[in-house]
Amino acid sequence: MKKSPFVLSAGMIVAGLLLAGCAKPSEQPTATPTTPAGSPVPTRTATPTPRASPAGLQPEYGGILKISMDKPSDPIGAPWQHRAGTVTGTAPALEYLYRIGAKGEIVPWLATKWEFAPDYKWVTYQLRRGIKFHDGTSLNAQTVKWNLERIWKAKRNGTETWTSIDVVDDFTLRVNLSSYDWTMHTISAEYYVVSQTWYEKMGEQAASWHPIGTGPFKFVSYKDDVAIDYQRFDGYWGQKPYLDGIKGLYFADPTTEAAALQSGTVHIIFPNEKYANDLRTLGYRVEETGYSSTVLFPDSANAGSVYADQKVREAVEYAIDKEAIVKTLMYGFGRAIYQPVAHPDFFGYNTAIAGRKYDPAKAKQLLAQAGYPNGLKTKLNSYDRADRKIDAAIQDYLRRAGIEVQIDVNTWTKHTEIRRTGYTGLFLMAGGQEGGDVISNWNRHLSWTKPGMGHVSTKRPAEWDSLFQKLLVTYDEKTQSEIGKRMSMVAYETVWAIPFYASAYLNAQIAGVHDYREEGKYWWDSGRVWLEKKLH
Amino acid sequence: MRRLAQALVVIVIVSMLVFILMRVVPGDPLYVYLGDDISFLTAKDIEAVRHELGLDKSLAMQYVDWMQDMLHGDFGYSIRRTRRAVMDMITERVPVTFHLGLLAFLISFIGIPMGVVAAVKRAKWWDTIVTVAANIGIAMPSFWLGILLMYAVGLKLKLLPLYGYTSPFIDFSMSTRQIIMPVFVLASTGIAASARQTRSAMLEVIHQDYTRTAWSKGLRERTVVIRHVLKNGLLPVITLKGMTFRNLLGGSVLVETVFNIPGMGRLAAEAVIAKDYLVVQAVILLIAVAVVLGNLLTDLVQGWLDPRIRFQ
Repeated sequence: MKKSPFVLSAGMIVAGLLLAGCAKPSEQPTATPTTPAGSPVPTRTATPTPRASPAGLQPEYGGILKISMDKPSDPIGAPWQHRAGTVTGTAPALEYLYRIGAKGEIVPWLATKWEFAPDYKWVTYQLRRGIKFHDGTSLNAQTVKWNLERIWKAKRNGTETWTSIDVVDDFTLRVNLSSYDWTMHTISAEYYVVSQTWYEKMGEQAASWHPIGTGPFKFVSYKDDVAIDYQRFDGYWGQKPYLDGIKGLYFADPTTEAAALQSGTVHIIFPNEKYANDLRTLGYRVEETGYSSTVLFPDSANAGSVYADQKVREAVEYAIDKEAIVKTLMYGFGRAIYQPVAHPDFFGYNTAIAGRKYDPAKAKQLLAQAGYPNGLKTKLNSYDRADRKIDAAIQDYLRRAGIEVQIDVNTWTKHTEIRRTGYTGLFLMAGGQEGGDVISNWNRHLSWTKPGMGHVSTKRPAEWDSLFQKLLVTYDEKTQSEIGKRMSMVAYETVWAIPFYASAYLNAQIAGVHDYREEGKYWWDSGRVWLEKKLH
Repeated sequence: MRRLAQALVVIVIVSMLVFILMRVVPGDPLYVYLGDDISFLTAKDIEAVRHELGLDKSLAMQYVDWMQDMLHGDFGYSIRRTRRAVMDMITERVPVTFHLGLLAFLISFIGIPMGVVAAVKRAKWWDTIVTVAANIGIAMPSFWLGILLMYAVGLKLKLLPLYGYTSPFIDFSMSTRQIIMPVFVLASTGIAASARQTRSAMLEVIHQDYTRTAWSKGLRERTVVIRHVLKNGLLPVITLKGMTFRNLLGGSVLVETVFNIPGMGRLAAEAVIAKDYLVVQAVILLIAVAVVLGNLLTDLVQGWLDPRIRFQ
């Protein structure tokens, strides 16, 4: 009969559609960008690394991971209320449009593709289909628009160039821009997406402390100063998580935290260098998963400042034995740094920079050349933290070079305030996390694009500012990399800020925990972690 | 009535002092509220927030506003970015602190019979043991004792949980096991101080004429010690216990930190460091109320013990 082939074909088409609908959403393949004239700027992506089992071991399902966490400093369910930056505590439940790797590569996540207009007056995001929030509602363009509008209304850093947001279709939205600025990637990579339905149902106050996201785990409960609990979300769009749940514990004391690890009541902790060294000696696995640079900012912008003279700034750098400080006071964790970027693997690292290594004789010589043959007096503005012995080490090294240092220790609140209102002498500050979105990180910690908001007493060279403005509006990876390296060289040549050390983000684990962090990634993919049966 | 009025005056003065102190301490609370990521805010935006928080008003007006809100049960919101209601933060922690504080307070009364025995058996080995133990208890820092116990009892011997707090209404067994070490640490100083104070007070009274008379009358040792010596010697001890009453609400930041207990002490310490002025003011006020209540109770008990005070 003539109908049979037609029916058969129709049946095959329907079957094919059904199979395609039931299949797991596939990862977005990497495309090598080529830009025909007038076409949108193609997406920059990195191929997401598929989850791999450690050699010789098969991941096991089950168990509840107990992990030490920092107490949240922002409401956990309201992205527009928190500072840009990875919030480890909510990582199990909340996800982002995309992530940014150590070299600036962008990894698709909830968004699979984004395209800029040739003139960068808009960007469209295509969302991954089939994603559900923990409350059962679907991720779509309208929900993402709602999230982005709230972040925009809260005037978060990165939204300054936005003009409007449109929904193109159910899974595509467009953000219209007055101009392109790299910091807008902060929004996509560092602000998670929450359920609009849940928020409108529960109200601001309740929803702020009950996050509903799309992550591999759903939020169960939060108790201030105690713990946050998550349970596996079986409706997760990606590969199903191995764990039954995650319990984040808040510890006020590092001794208690270390003891908890040794007792087995916690599986992963984030110790400081001293405790990490002790645990390493006891045989626990200790990993370095990132760095945070600490920099000395001289008050070179103040009238009459000794640091207006580059020779004095160079003398300070030569006078301090950074390697010794890292080896002894930091127990070998972290690195001495001689340029703004901590690690050769990170964006902006310039291998041509040799660095000013410890040379106290050279330091004295430079001081004499600058007109201070008998030394000088200065102040070190520091803040209350665990590794304050380093302040004493700075004081001692500078004293040997003829620089008398008075240490002024403030609370963190006061310290960040005087960064904006003005300081005298040297200002010690952690520069934020290396790896991940370094450009936005430089914006927040080294440059600050708005006048008066950065280190107001430190004078930056015009070339640095000019290069940074150029970096912010450059999308091409190769050009970005060249600019970043040039900026590192300018920083080295002018010593406008004195690079000091990069402290490592450390974690210590008991035996039986696997895949906590993926090599080269600076965010936590909680779905990867698994525990051996003995820890269940 | 007079005592109540005095108590009220004390509370008001304390509230003024803590209010002024929090404003005088370096650091603008506005920047705590705004956080670090404020490059997008103009000076006008920042001043608008200052106005919204009422920080542009005079100190006197800010104090009046705060007291008015407090009297209506509105303790305000934390200026830290968590923006949690101060009342919620306090009501979560008061039961925890009260539970531990009450147990420690009651257990510290063990020091009284210890002091009695030391006084009665003066210069004997009982006296030596109690005196040495009391001196160690007073001299030993509580956080050090806590860490020592945590290491020995919790980590090495695995007899008790290392840290944490569970409400007794949720899991009584776990709650009991978890609070043994922190309560012992909290109580140890109180036991030691009570023992020493009781011993000193008893020794003073033991040599009084009326005590000698009581012995001479042929009364039994127990009657002399308890009815004549202890009753008269307890007055300074009761004063001492009254002073520690504030711990029922104030907590101990060191013990709570070491044993990871979400109590009022930690809340207060963190709020001071973060310049979270509304939290600090509320907590200090609460402690002031506890001190005033403690003093009132002390006076009542002393009045019961000593009729002369009652009539005064």
